Amino acid sequence: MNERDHELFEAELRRLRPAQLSDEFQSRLADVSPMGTAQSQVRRPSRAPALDWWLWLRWLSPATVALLAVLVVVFQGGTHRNPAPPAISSTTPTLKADQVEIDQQLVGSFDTVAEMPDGEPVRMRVNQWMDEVTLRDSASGVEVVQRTPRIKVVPVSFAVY
Amino acid sequence: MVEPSTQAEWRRWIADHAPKLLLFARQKARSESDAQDLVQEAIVECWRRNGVGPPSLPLVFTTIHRRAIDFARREDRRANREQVVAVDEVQAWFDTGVEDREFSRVIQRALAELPVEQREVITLKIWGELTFAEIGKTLEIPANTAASRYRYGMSELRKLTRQVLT
Repeated sequence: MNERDHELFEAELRRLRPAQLSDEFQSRLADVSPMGTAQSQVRRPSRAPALDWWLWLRWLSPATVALLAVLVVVFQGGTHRNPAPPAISSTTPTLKADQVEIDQQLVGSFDTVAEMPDGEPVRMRVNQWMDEVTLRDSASGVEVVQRTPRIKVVPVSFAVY
Repeated sequence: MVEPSTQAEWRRWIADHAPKLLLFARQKARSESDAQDLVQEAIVECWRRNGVGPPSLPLVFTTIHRRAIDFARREDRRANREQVVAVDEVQAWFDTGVEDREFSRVIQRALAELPVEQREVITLKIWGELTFAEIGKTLEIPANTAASRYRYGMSELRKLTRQVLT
């Protein structure tokens, strides 16, 4: 096929327009709201909010226990070692952060399938994020970096088996 | 509830682009309903990710491509378990007037005979109106590979249709 043939054939193909959507599909897409798309899953009713809470609770409970344990250890250690901590002198230099950086990094992403209590499979996308806050005091040359891992779980679809 | 302007923008975007997206999804899916699901999932996902305003078309094509791979894996597992093959009635891929009806049928049939790698590139180039660089990004292949698949696919398509159309 020479260049001229190629162009003519291409032009002929371009004349064809992709078929319009069926009415049913068109209204299905039109109902998909850009801001509340969870309701748009047509095959199955969405139970995403309940699932979200359940997943967060699973993480929240052990995290709270761990935090309390750390606080207790720190508090007890602190009181034993320093029964009467010296008052902070008014001349002690305090940190004054003049540069603040906030960063988020996606460190991992994978899909997983879980089962609802009624046995219905649901597919979820798990994104592992690392949030990082950096505070810099350029006068004293001190830099404080805090990294916090965060997990975001988004139900993608109800799998049909 | 969505703002009226956003809703109007949304409907207009769908009317303009969804037919192209569905045509591409049909090249990747095994049935019409799977193709529709792919388009819906991809649009929703991209719109959410985009936040404000409609998503870019190449991004939605890319998402359809990725979700189609997931779909195919899931369907393979399901097919192995159920051993059932669903046959959809054949949908017309193009809108045409009476004079082009035969031409569009021939093209659809010939397209369906091409390997999926060539078919998807032709669909994205001709009807998706993407550049080879965008097609490369969408399908996660080098732009040169996209271009050569397009050339081979077009000459094969020409051969397949020549007997019928001349």
